[in-house]
Amino acid sequence: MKAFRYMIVANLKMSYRNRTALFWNLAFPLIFIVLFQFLFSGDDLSIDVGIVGEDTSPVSQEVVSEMRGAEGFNISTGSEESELDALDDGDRSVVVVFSPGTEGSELNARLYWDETDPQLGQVALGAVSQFLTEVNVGMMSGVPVIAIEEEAVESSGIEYMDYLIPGILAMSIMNTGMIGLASAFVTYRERGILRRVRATPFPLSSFIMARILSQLVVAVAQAVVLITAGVLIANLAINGNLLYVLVMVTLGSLAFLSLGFVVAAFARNQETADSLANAFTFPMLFLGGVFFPVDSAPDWLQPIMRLIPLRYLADGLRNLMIHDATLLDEWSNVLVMISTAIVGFGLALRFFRWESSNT
Amino acid sequence: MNLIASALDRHGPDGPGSGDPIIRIRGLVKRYEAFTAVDNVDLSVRRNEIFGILGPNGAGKTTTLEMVEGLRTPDAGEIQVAGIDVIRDPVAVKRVIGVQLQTTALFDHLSAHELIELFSALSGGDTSAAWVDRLIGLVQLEEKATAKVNQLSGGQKQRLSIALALVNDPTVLFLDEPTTGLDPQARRNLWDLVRQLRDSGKTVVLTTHYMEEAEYLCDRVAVMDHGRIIACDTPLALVQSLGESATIRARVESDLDRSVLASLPGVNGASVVDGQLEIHTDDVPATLMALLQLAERLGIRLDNLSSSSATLEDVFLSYTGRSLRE
Repeated sequence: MKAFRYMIVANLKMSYRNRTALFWNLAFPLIFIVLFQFLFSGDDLSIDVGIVGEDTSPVSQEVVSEMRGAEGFNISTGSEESELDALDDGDRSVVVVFSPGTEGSELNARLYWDETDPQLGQVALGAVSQFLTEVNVGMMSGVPVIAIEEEAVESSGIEYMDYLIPGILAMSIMNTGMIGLASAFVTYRERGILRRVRATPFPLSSFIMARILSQLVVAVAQAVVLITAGVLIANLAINGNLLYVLVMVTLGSLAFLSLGFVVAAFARNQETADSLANAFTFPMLFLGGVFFPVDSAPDWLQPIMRLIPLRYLADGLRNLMIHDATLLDEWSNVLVMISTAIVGFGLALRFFRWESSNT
Repeated sequence: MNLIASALDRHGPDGPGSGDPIIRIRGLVKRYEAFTAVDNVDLSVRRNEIFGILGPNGAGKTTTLEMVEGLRTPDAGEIQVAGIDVIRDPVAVKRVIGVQLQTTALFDHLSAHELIELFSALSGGDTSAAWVDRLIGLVQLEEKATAKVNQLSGGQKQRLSIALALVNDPTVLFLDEPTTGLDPQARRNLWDLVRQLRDSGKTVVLTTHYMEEAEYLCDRVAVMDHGRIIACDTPLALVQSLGESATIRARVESDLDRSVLASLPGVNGASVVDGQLEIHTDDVPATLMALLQLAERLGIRLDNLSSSSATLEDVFLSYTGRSLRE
């Protein structure tokens, strides 16, 4: 147990001091987040407001024309159905539906806002209702002209960064697990470090377990850093349970570590290991739905994309983070991670070699 | 943990290298497909001696050592180390031995101090700072204790790997070609360290293809070639087994007839290649006298005339018909 503890501490020290690995594990995904944030967020900070029933009364017409004149509102009008669809797709922050007033007020205004985008949704709701209240006060002292109701709507259309960041996290877990582990173990074997460890009474199975546990610690650290950076830099919306996210991170990490062991089993030297791991991970990046939703890919690609484990990790993380999904909701993605790990470790057990040559 | 024990109890009651063998090898065989790397090797290593396995590259030295260390499984034979059956219990033997492998590969990004601490933990040894510092002092790496492995010179790496072999205060220490690639100064330092370890009560088994190393450092030497032990004794006894043999060398300008040289008194072999004269003799004074007279009679100059007594190189040559360096 003492030996195991020392091995884990040594592994973590090595991970931390290996600047190249640290760059690929942490800096590289962070650069992605910053870069995409820069590319996809203009300085357009106006609030998209959808108006339904502009012509309900002179008051509504007056209000809308004043909103058009005010800065910071981006007004579009349409039918209730089309505007609520737009809200649902995330294209509106607030939808105002005017209807003829009842019970004394001249006009009813029902405000729908996007709950999944708490920051912008709240701001938009606040701005719009404040505007309407001002109109109320300005138009007639005492009796409110407009009766305001609010209704929260959960949109299915999520911001691109909310889509991207769970994908980036999945990508980092894959890279650390597969490339990092394969490269390290092939180097250990090639340079005789595995043999040196074998010359001690410390069992190799414990050596591997220590390595896996250390890698899981690294994966969780990656998740914490990337999610924190996502919230701070890109306003990442976390609606799910972070504990579930960590469970998914762990399972995904195990799955890709097992694939790393498979690569290490078949690669003879570090160069082969690196190119083999890259040959697997690079296409996965684009076919695994990290940067764009897999649904938008052409039909002929779909069956191939269904075979890519990264997709299930990215999907699972996304649903757990952005939507309020539970692990049970994500059972299929969880199952893919577990079965990948089982198949991977099975193959690795069968084909892994401790010695680089047959001498 | 009595690593640098008082020199008083080093030799035991019967002097160095006596008593029951601490390592016993019988009929050891290792084959790789059609190739027999180790061919029916018998060896006994005595307690508290420096035992050398001398042979050219590919002789089977490393393979033999790794089987004794429990790293490879032999195809046939028995190995006992400190009373442990290595083949039946390779883990138990790892607790009482220390191993330095031929390639000094270590984890990057860890300091010498951290590596010793880690391997001490892995070997079930003492991880206290006092013990680690003591090992660092023993291999004279005090100034490099916090340096990473890639900042160490070849000799320093070699000494670090010896420190790693000592973490569990082993009874038997195995060093696989410990001085290969070292400069002469670093090599001499390492020899001192190995002697010091022997003097502190350890048994040291090392492989080498340097005959000087076997000759000056080892208490006993096994000469190995093509997977077999061809001779095993103290370096002195091995050399003496060749008789009072010596070699006379000189440079000559003109050709000398080999048969004339061979007929000189005491000579049992002679050659002249590219003006380099080499005569093997059992009687240096008689041969030398006759050679000088011959040269004067024929009017031939002998430059760089020298005579040297036999070495392990000659032992190897006489057993295998080949030079160790080939």
